[in-house]
Amino acid sequence: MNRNGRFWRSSDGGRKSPAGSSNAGNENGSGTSGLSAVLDETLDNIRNELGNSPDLKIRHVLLPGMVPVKAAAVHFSELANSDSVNQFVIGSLLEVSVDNFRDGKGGSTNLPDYILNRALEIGQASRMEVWNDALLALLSGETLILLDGYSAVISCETTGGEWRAVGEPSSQLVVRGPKDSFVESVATNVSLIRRRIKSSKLRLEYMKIGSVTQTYVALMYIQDTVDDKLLAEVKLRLNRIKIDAVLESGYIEELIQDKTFTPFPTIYNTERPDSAVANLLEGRVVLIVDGTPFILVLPAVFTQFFQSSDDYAQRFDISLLMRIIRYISFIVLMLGPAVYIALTTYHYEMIPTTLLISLLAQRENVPFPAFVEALLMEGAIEILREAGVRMPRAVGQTVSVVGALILGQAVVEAGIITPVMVIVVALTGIASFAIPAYNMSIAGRLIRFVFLFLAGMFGFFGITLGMIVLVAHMNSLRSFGIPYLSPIVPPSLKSRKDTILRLPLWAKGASKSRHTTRVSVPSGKKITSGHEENLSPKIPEEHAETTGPMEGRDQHE
Amino acid sequence: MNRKFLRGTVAALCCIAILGLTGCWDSVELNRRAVVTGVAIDRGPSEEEKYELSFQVVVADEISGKNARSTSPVAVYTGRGRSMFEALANASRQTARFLSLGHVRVLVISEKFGREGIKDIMDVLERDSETRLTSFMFISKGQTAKDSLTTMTVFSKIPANDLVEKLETTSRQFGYNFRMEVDDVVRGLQIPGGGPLINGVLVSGDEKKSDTNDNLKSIAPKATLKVTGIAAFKADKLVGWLEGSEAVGTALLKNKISQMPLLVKSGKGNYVSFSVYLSQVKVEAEADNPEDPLITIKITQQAGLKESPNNLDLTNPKVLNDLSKLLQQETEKQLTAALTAARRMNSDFLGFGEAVKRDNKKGWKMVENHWEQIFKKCRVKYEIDAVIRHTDMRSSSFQAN
Amino acid sequence: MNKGSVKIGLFEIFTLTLLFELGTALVVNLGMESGKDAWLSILIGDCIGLFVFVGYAFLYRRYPKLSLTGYTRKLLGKYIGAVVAVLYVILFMNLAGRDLRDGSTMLVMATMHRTPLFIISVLMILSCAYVLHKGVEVLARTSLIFGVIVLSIGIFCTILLVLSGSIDINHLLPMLENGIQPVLSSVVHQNFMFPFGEMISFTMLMPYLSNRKKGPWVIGATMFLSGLLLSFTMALNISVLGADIAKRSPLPLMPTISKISISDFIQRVDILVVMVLIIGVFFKMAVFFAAALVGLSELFNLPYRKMVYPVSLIILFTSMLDARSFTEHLQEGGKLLYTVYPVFMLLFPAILILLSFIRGHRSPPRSG
Repeated sequence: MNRNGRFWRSSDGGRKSPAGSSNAGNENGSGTSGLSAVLDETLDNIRNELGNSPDLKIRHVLLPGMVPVKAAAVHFSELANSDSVNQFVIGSLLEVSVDNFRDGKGGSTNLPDYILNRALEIGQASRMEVWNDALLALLSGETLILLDGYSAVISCETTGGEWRAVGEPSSQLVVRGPKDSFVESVATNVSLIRRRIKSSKLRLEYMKIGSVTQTYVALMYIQDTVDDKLLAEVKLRLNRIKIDAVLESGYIEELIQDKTFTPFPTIYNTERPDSAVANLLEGRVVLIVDGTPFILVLPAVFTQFFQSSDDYAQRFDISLLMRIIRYISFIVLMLGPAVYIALTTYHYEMIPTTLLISLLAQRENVPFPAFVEALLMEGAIEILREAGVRMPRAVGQTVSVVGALILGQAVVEAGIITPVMVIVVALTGIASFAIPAYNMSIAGRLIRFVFLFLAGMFGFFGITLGMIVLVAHMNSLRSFGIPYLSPIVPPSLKSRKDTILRLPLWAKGASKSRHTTRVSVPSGKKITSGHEENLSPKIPEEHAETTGPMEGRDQHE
Repeated sequence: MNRKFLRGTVAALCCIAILGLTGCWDSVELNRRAVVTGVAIDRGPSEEEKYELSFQVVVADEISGKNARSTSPVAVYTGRGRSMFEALANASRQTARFLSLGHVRVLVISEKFGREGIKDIMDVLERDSETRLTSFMFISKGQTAKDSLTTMTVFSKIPANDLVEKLETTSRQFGYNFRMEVDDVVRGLQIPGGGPLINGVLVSGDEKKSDTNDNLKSIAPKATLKVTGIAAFKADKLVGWLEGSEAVGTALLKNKISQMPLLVKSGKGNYVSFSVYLSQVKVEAEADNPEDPLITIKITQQAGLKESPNNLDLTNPKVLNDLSKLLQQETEKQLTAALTAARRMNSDFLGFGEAVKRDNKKGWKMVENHWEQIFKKCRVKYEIDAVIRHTDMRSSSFQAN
Repeated sequence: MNKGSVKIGLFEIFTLTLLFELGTALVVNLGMESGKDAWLSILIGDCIGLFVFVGYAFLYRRYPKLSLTGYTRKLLGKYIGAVVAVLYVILFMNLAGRDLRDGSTMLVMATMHRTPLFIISVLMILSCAYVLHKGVEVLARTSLIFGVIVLSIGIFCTILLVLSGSIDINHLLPMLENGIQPVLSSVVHQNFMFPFGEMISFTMLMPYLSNRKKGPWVIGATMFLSGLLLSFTMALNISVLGADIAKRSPLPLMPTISKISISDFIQRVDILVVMVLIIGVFFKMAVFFAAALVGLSELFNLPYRKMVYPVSLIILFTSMLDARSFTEHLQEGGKLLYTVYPVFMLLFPAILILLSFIRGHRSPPRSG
């Protein structure tokens, strides 16, 4: 558990301050002001800054020698690993001989460097001169060594504290495949990925986002596989984020996606390391946010949300069937109740006569119009689902059984809802679980209500128009410059082997496409403008070529 | 950006509100519908009430609902009017719900109306977007059309469905009738010198008691609904009924037979029965001289022997060949019967005229107006090829030994 | 290459052309003036239309980066050109409006008997405006998916029709019953303009093509293919319904498809035809709409997006004020088809081609 230590350093050894930190946290104190050459003053500053927190532990030490030097080790007892603090920090300090330093044996010109180089037994430590950096290190669970007479501090890597152990994923379950899941710690998550890709091309970069929380965000990609334009754009958008707190990857997702006004997710999230690795190998960028097991994968296209990692563990024919079933269930989820409403209230002539008669008999004493009925039931099932998520696990089972079975049964018995409507609603409810990505199934659930209204008001006319608008909307979406319906529209036969369908690995090109084809931003597309790019309606004059790209944004704003 | 977003949202909300307020014009809840399965069209007593329409409406609760009151599974409403549309309007005033014609499967016209002419009826039937072109047409033989919709039937709770099933059975198994849908009749009305063919329907037995559940309480129903014969039309007027081999011959010529039994007399007073399971018919004309065309009827038939209670040696191919000769003669007899009937009724419902038209479209223009006369005396040649494919599960009968 | 501008790929232009051509033509009784031989007159119209399209393609080859209104101004001079360009924009709006009226009236006739025409039109034009607001590229991409849907509905229905045994080839015979005369007259009156001559609107979109070499070929091939499909559909209608019923029904495809009945389970699938109708009308109108928008924004140098909603209003009111009844609307359209439209679809392009020839001789042609 305590391997969590050195997190942001393991990547590139040196203690460079992460890219995002420069613009963050400049409000609470300025520059080096807090660090003073007088030890007590510095300690007071720290105490004041942190509000005399009781979990702030200060251990005073007197470094032995002819002229003893006063020193102090400061750490948060709940954040740091007390074993390493005691053993490696305090233990080493007590053995430091100031005389040796004075004699020049250490080869260092000042004491902190001497301690850093010669005395500390801890694996990771660094010298700090900046007040904010020092505070941040302290707040991250490191131990600061303050020396009287020097304004520089030494920060020792002692991060510890309790984290959840790697367990099974709770949301994206597979029948066959790895059972480990990401956890809340960035370091563990990085290790889960690194263990799977033993390649020197795997790159890791850290950023800190959130002016208050200073949350670590790890950016991972595979050099040479990833599209440079994509990478640059991701970094640009990350740097542009201005937010106080980042508590979940969803915060980041919302702030960096192309277009906010859409129910469809344009960034994929997963808690499965194997899925993250597969995406890395395809040239995508992975963002790991500290404090959440859900990592972000981008760019993401529509078909990606219908892939599950056990597609590749199963035989291709089986996974092909499964994928088709997932697409069908998405359609059922969106259109199921709508089609039922349209059929019964508008196009009853399409229903086979015998079926119609039994529907008629069922509807005979039902008080609500079919549309209201559907709305009620869909609402009820949404409530049930929401309740099921919030429910303590112990009662969850019972309540869902009570809700689904008893309620459904009673509602039909009481003659409030027709049995067929219960069947239709239950079908859409089940269909929503067949979609591997939860956020996609939420999108489907939302759109279902729109279609319900359209069908209630205009029958199949409404549904058809709704479909056209929906598809057009999806076509207008882009995820980091990649069209959302990408391998389908615009069509590219090569990558379609493994997106809509799942052809066997030995099929020409299929094995390649899973792990080595690159996600590349179409040339000529400026990524930033996202969906707005395809708006430029103006056909340039014959010689206007040199004036460069036109942007729809320029024209209408 | 924010303002734009707001504006968009407000606009969208307004649209939704407007659409929501105006409501759903075409939506009709199922429990506001009275689903009609059959329509009977009778000739009313006067011109003011020329059309008397009876609608057979399903009482769904009675058929599959939990709250059945053991009443009749269907109800019949009748309305009269100067036009079909008015009659419909008058009938729907009696029902609490919208008469919905989307599931009409049976249209019965009374023979009386048939003799008077049906072309005025057909217009609304094909024009309306709700009624279906695949409804079956019937002529009630000698009775009012309403009778055939008010008879309780054994197998289907809805008499109209029962009628449809009966028609499908007879046309599929026996070939005495064939499916006649609305558009077939409309096309039939336009056959020059001919007319449509419409299946007949008849309530046999005690008509008085046919419309209550009592009809079904005895093992032998008091009254049964039967599909019988084919009504032949000249233009839009009924001119006669085709029964038995006339009907089969007509169905053959219309190439509508899927399977039929055929009996052949094998010498000593007993019959050999066949099941003809494939008949491919082509009617061709050689009309170089349109005044004297030669109609060639080519039939390819495949049959299986079903019954042979005699001492024929069925292992001998020659015997089978002889039998198939007899089969061909029998078929020719049926065809001739149909042709004779057509000539008797002076109506080319067999479509010979169209064959001539296909062969010689210029010549047809000359004879179009007096085709009836030519039809009466035109030469007809039969080219029949019947094959007996098998003798079912035995070869010769035990009587052969 | 023009980086960052709209690009329409070959697949997309294929389906866009297909949906445009099938559009309303698929469901109406196209070429029924010639009775049984309607399918023949469609084929002839198709060939003539292809020939006309070669002319458009020629102009495109000459000025691959300009739309119709662009080279009109270039060839005819600034002022005359602008006038002609404005006329074209009006033509496109008119065509879009007529199409909207066609579509919504047919819908009202077919299923939505009580829904006001206006509401249906508003819904159609609103969704169209939304799609065009997203851009021409989105329109083209969307067409790809719906092209596939329409084609599969077509295949599905044809198979079902064959299975339910309603097809009688004899209804198509004899060919040329009344000679070639009616066929030709139908071609002149209708088929070479509708829907093939309407391809003039594609001259506004062709500059967006991603592949300049193959693009026109694909469009041409698609025109031919859609002609075949239309002809096939008409032949299907006639062989199922007979020439008389097909001629008298404004939407013969609906009764044809409603003849499908497979063991009482699959029945009355004519709602599929309604869906095809909606999709077809939508894309056809959208192409005209887009053509008008491109023309407008180019002429007056106005941003495209701001024009979407005003133009949609214009189209909406054109369609509503067009005629009092559908019969009147159709008759008017029939007249326009052989009086006004040929001027725009044949005469002006012919003049432009001539002019470009003269220019080409005078100065060395610029290569695209």
